[in-house]
Amino acid sequence: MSKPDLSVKFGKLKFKNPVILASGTAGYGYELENYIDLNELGGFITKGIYFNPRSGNPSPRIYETPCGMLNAIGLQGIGVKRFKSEILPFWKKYKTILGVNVAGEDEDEYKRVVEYLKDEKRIDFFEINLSCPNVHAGGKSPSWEPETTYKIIKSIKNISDKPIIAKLSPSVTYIEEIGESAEKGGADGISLVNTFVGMAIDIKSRKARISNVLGGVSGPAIKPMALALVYKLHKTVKIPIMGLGGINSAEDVLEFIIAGASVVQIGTASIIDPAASIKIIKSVEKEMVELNYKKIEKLIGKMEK
Amino acid sequence: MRKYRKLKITDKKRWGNNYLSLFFEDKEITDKVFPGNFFMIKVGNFYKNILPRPFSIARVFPEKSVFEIFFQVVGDGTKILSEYNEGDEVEILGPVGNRFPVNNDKKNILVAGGRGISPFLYLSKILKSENIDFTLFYGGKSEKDLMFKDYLSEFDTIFITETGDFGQKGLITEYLPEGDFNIMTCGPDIMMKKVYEFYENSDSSVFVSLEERMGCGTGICYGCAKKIITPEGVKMVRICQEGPVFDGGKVVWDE
Ligand SMILES: Cc1cc2nc3c(=O)[nH]c(=O)nc-3n(C[C@H](O)[C@H](O)[C@H](O)COP(=O)(O)OP(=O)(O)OC[C@H]3O[C@@H](n4cnc5c(N)ncnc54)[C@H](O)[C@@H]3O)c2cc1C
Ligand SMILES: Cc1cc2nc3c(=O)[nH]c(=O)nc-3n(C[C@H](O)[C@H](O)[C@H](O)COP(=O)(O)O)c2cc1C
Ligand code: FES
Repeated sequence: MSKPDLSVKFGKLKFKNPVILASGTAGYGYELENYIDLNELGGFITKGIYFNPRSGNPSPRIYETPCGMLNAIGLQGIGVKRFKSEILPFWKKYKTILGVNVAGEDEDEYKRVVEYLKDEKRIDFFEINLSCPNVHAGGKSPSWEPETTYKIIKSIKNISDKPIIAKLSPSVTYIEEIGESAEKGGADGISLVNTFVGMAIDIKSRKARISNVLGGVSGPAIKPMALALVYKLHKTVKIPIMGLGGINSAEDVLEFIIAGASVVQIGTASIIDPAASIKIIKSVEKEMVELNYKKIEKLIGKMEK
Repeated sequence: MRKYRKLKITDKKRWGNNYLSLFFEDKEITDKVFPGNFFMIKVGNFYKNILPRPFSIARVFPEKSVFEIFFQVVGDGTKILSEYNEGDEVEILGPVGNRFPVNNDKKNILVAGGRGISPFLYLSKILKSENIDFTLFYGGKSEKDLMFKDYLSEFDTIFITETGDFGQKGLITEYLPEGDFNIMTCGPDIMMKKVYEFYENSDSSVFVSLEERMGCGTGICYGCAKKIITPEGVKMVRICQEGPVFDGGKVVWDE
């Protein structure tokens, strides 16, 4: 029995398997070194970074919700300078495809981050976080508006030769419209979904359960919605999609791929168990053998009526 | 590689008042665990009570490779954990986190409030076996909030209850000695803050074990961060990585 082929071409990028660790749920990478062999991953996306270091939101930052969790970390991060001097050297000993999740408080900041990092050879692509619901007042994010999405992607596209992936918020009315504007702006791919805006209240104190009041919902609770959004987007745009939202099993991975994702990302599952991604890769391989699927690339968007 | 491992519950004890202990046998853990360290335990699964919960190391019996988790039922997760029985398996990660710093030159004072007794159970045993001078102050609301009385009778322990139905009557801070000590404390924030303030203007150092809601316990989610004074100013520092034990002077207490 020959092994199924898990490799996937994603524009210029060639992933050896379709499982990527998502941004913000796997740290910068070094934290996981004692838990998994980072070389076994299809790819890795670092925690979102702004130009300057940020302290993030006060505590409490997370809360468990039915079948998921709510978070408002507030993109605590070390800033681009330390990222370059401390994190990138760490990654030199690994071959895993590395994406950097880029955050910004305004359009200019996204540009400044990419500008600063554009010549770093160890970085394989930039994932532009147009969707973090935590930072701006009221949880507003750039990818709620087609024009802002277009403008930001367009302004970054010219700076760097590396692939630009637009990471979008699912908390919108027409994902198709936002996806199209990212594509028009020059995005090489789209990551969908980031967390859904959500909240929880302590009925005794009548206070929000997390300090930021609004947060992002992730985990299995959002999987059916995330899958539907990936499906809809795949029918609209030509650029490839990184699908995510509540993935924790081989079945979840294959569902996203059949719905139209080329590769997938693992978020919350890796918070719950640092080895989740590796277990998932192994079980995808097993599941493919059982279902007699030979090449995962052939399944992308191959839904039957 | 470190990972979640399925460990069998070898014994279970109910203390009353919603306190329980679970016992496990694992030499790898008992060989390296030290008071201050904690474990992440999967109480539910990915679809229900998704987040693993943190629990400190309680007693350790190295000769039998047995360790104990001591906890209070306060919500869903601890309720589920309380329903496991001898022979059941739970998934455990750890030990993780840092250690309480023992001082060989000063007298060590351990201050525990309620379920904050956990780390000092094994610490007392270690200090005694190494002939290091220490006193344990252990306070609770009333007698039924104080556990491990037999075990602790081997050590220099001062019991304090608010009702006075066991040991001394009043609050722990009314009984603390003045002087130059190495203080280690674990319990409700308000108690640890008072202990810190009691020694703030003395030569004593005070180390506190902080709690915060946790996601991963592995340092990747930044969910557990709290305000800590660092050389670069006040920062949000991860309790699970840089802690849970911190110098009380570095804690921003009004959080
Ligand atoms: C490093 C560390 C070590 C700990 N050691 C022990 C121990 O040895 N024994 C023990 O009984 N408890 C310990 N705790 C607290 C324990 O983790 C919580 O009581 C438990 O997670 C609550 O889970 P639950 O689902 O039952 O409660 P939930 O329904 O999640 O919450 C019930 C109540 O507990 C509070 N709570 C929830 N999570 C935490 C948390 N991580 N820290 C503090 N409060 C929390 C909530 O705010 C709420 O008021 C420790 C916490 C930390 C951070
Ligand atoms: C604690 C936490 C931190 C996150 N940080 C980021 C981030 O920095 N940048 C980003 O684009 N997405 C971030 N996300 C979103 C995840 O990458 C992912 O899109 C989302 O959680 C949905 O996937 P999941 O259900 O598999 O977790 C974060 C999510 C969580 C739970
Ligand atoms: S619990 Fe995730 S970083 Fe501490």
